[in-house]
Amino acid sequence: MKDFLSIAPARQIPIEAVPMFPVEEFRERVIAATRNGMRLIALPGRRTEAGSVRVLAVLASDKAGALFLGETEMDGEYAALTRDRPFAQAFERELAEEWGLRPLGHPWLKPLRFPCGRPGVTDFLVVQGEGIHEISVGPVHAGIIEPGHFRFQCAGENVVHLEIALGYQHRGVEQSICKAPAQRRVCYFETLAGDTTIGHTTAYAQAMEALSDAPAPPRAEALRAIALELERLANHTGDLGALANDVGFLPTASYCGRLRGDFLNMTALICGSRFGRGLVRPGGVCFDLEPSRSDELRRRLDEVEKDARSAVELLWSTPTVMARFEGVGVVSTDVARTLGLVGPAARAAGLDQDARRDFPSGWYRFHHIPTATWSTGDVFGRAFVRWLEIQRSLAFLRETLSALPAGESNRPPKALLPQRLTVTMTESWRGETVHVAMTDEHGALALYKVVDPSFRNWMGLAVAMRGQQISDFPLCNKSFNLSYCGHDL
Amino acid sequence: MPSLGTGLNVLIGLAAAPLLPGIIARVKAMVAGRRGPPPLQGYYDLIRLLHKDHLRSRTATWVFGGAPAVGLAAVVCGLLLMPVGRQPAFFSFEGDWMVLLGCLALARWCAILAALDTGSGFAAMGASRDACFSALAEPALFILLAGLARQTGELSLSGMVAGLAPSAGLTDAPGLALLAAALGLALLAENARIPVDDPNTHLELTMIHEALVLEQAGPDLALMLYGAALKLWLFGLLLMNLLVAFADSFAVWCGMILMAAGIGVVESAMARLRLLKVPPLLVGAAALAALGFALIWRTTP
Amino acid sequence: MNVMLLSLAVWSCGALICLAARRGAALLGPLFVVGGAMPLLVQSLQVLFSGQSVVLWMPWQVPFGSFCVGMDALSAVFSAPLLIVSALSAVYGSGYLRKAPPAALGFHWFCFLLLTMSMWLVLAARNAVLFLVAWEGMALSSFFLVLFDGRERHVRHAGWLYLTAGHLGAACLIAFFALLGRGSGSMDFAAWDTAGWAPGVRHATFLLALAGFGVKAGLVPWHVWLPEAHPAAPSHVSAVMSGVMIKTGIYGLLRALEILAVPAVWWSWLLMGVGLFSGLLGVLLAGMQADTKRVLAYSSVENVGLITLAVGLGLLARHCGQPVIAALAFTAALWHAFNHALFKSLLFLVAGAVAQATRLRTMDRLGGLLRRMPITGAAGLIGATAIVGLPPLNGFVGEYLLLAAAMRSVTIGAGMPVLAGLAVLGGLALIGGIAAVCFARFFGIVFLGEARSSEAVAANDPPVPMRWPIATLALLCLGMAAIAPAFAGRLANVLPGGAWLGGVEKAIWHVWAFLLGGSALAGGMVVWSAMHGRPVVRPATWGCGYAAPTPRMQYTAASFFEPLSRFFEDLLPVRKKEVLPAGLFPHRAAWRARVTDVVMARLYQPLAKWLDWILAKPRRLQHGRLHLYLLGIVLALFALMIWKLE
Repeated sequence: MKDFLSIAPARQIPIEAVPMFPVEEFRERVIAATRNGMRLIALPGRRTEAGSVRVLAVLASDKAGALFLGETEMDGEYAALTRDRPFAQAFERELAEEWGLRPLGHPWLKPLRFPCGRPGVTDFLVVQGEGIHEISVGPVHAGIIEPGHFRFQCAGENVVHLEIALGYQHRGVEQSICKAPAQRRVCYFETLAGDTTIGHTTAYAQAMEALSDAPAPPRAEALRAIALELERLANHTGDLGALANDVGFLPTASYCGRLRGDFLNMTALICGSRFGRGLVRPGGVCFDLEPSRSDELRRRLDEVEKDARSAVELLWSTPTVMARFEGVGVVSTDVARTLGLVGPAARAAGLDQDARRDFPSGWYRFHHIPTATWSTGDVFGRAFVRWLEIQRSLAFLRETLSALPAGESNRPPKALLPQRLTVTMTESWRGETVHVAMTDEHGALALYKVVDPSFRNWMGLAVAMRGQQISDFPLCNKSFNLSYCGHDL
Repeated sequence: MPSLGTGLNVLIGLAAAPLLPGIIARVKAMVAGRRGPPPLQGYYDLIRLLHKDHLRSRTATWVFGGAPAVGLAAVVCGLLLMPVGRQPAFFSFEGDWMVLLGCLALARWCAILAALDTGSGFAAMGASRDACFSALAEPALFILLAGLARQTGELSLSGMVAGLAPSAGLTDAPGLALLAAALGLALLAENARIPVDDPNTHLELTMIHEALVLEQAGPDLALMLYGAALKLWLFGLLLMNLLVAFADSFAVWCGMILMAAGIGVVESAMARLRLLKVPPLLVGAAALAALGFALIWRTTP
Repeated sequence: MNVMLLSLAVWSCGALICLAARRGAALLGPLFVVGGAMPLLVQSLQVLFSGQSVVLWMPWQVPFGSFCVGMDALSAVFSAPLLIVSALSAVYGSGYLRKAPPAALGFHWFCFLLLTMSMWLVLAARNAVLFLVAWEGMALSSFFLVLFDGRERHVRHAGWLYLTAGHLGAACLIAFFALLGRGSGSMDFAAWDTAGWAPGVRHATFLLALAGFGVKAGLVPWHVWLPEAHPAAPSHVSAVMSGVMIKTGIYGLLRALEILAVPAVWWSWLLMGVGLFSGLLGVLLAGMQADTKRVLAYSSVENVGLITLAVGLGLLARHCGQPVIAALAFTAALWHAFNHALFKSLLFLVAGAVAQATRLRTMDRLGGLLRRMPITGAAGLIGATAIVGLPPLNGFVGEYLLLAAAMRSVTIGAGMPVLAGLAVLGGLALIGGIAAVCFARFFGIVFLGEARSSEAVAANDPPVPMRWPIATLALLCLGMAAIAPAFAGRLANVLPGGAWLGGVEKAIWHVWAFLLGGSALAGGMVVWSAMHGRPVVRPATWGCGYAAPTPRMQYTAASFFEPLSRFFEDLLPVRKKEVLPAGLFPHRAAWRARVTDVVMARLYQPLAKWLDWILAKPRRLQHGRLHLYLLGIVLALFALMIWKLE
């Protein structure tokens, strides 16, 4: 690994410093690196003036807490990484779709976002046999959820194979980001995945601060961390309630629905928007937290914690609920590692990875949150990991609120340095969010790559459902709770 | 036999049936800490649906068009055979319990064929599950009716219920309690209640009864929902007759409301079973009924 | 009497004429069948409704044989549906075999006429030798009819299996009749009186009768030929075989029970057990089949099981001195035997029409046929509703009678009838429920939804000769329900030991009236909602807004039954050929499952292997060396001479 450039997250480096390799050597080095426990977390491409495509590999080493970068230039065909490393499957499909590259030997080269043509219409794997029937769910679902197409091949109630085709929410966000004026850019990040506003805007703000060498003040970082944890609390609580709803257990479902609202209102208490819109900006946060509001926040947290505890503990103590959760939708540790899953889904399968601990940035450099893991990888594991994270986030919030650093809450943003590259990582509530930003010679954005955690986890849901009962699908889906928008961008 | 009192019971049944799902929904909401819909919501839904247009898929045939009406007629015929406490049913004759179960089976048959007629995968999945689970729930109902017949020596429903009151004593209580437990499980299974089915779910892949009516809309849906409410009313009456056989009609109506509240509480207290686990539950109901029958057999000469 | 001889003459001459006529046999065959059947049908109905039996006796130059035929109530109950179904199937056959080669046609109608004649003779025979000759004639003629499509390998296999099973059963029957004849010295039914016999001989005779007639009826465990032979035959022959030929087995059993006048108790338990097991296994296997005609064949196994169950209950009730229950049970058995002939043959004719229109028998490739074949589909719906036993059709009346008998036996005092009644109630509930799943699947997958293949899209209603029998049988199903109380009363007196007391008759009239009223209510509601309804909008079936729906997105027949097949997997061993999706990015997967008959797999195939093994041992004697054969002969002669010349 001598030649891949090692950087820390949320730091900028000149683009020229990234080493360039020929395609075969690039591939060999990536494969060798990932053999030793490194993970591929981004594979963005950009067009050069010559017409070829420069592909940057961003590898992450959890143990070292560092990122490793390497570039190559491709034009047309190349030997696919996915053949040896399945976790690269989505990245290479994206490269193929966006830049027209042809990964040879890619075992699953299907459209990802359907930029042209009808979304969701592709060749699905058909399980031969007249007794097999296909169930096609979506894109329009019976609940108020995002559009996506699920194609099941079933033998009766047993799912033999599931294939997921997304792309219905493709809005061309990445292209719009680079073209938008600086003040408007943050709006794209706020709505990129509507329930992960703080996660994406924090990553964006850190990227801009890194690229302009103007870090945010500590108070702002603390406030950002508070908002991120509140977002995590709201979504995890909502997920637990939704899981209870899917098994027909109404008490927890109703209470958690209300509690999610309480957490959202706490975010609104800080910035006036329940989803944290308008809070995080490059340079800091737009709203400060006076002591009175901070006390109010702490009071509300205590109240809600009591209610949440009683509602959620009811889930674990009801045998019928546990019978539905345990052993369903199992993702083994091997599969999770091979597919490169992130977030609670990976932690529930036994992978010990958390960007707040391994790649801390902002306030997480000073205050650590213990990582919550479980070993079974089933629906119960994913639900229980959420509960553990709720408890730890609550403790973190109390600690941070009582120790907010003094000072300003934002600084005016500075201009971006030219020809620079940065990679920022946030642990949003779905998992590790990676942003890769590059500036051109004028200091404008030349490339902005967003890797939402859902981008890497959708394949995990498809694999988790094999051999399961089809009536358990909504439960599995809800236990992953992935973002369709975040995937489709 | 047809008389004013028995006719009134039928009319009350026809009028009050949509109240039961309303009460259940209200109780569930209250347990969950919400206010919930008004108990009369069922009526508002029916009236609203009756004013909509028919929505019938191009794939569907006259089977889909006729099924709701025939199914409802079948359930109404069943209502004519159900006694209420001490009062006999509108019609009663030997073996009317068979005709009642046959009418319910006909209603289910119509719903299943209507679901298959649309060519929708979800509706057919629901039809398959509903048919299979009902097949496994039938033995419980038959055995428990055999228990009632053994206990009272009567061969018609009205006779059985009327005979329960004087003949039931303390020694018969355990057997009858087991029969009532079996009937309770069968009621939950046949009427698409938790733990067998979730009536509030929107997830097509988990539905049983809801999926049967997925493709119905407008007046067709109104007929199916009303038929389902009547079926719940029928099962409720049977359970009440078993538990409070000596009572008069008023006590039975109060009992029905309490039963609806009870169903609401039961639904709130447990999650819905995995579909794999439903057949063993139904076999358990049949086993309970058989045990109850055995106890009754021991105590009757 | 003249009627009987006349019809026999019509049939025999017709058979020979058809054999000669070849092409003309397509019209002449059905004509002769109908011509011979009509007078006999009138006679059967007369006998049934008036209670007067007729007998004809003519001498016959066969040892122990005499040409003694008669029609009493029991024979009439079985011969009426025989004649109706044979006549209608013959008319259907003239349309079904339109495109068959003329050489085959002549022989086919020859065999068909022989089959009809021998079946009727089986029912009418009053002499054991005549009975056995007719039995054999029935077996042989149906064997040749099954082999109509003899070029296909599975058809030949089915034919051989059928012939073997039939002759094994016939062997039991020969032994049965031999035992009976030995006791009384004559082979005429009227001369037999088994009252003073030793119990051991009576039990052996009963078991032989059960085995012999059980093979023909298709009771488990002798049913394995049925699901092979019935689907292999042309559809009108399947209708005759499944509708009436297996009933001759039931008839034989009932006649045997009548001859062995005082049954032992365990006979009735054995009959009930066999009946329940046949019912359950038959309906489960029916639900697992992918071929329309195999579904119907296994369903015949189920229904024959139900008939046997009813007979068993009736016997038990008679033994315990309960004439009303016995009457109800026997009436149920006879009613079901009569009506099953009607709706099973209707379903087979419908399946044949579908098979001819689409050239497909696999349910998972059909679909949407109700719109394209309205008459066939409507008749199929009536048949399916009747066979499931739903009110107000004729199947329900049969279930009512049996369940009424069972409930009555539950309420009376002593031990045995209570247990029997409970077993019948629980068993019939389960079997009936599963039958509903099976036939919802049959009708729903084949006729409803969207067509799953281009052949299904191109289907049409069958030509006129095929339409009329289908419609007639459907109308008969409806009609039988209408005359149920009167007819049931007639049936009650057919078998001895029953007393049709007033209370039961009144109940049946009440049921009839209630069902009539209910049907009127349903009809009225349908008409009212059709006339006063809101406007109808006809969109496409909701496909969740997907841009490219395919017909494969419908449910399949295999999946429809899956929850039950998983629950009963011990009784339904499935041979799976699956290539499961391997790895994270699978490129191919396949999944095929075929259910195997558990009796065939666990009983007959191991038995056949063992027989093969053990019979291979004496093959060592076939060494081919002539001098050793001659030595053996000389030694045997020598031994005989020494032994006999002592």
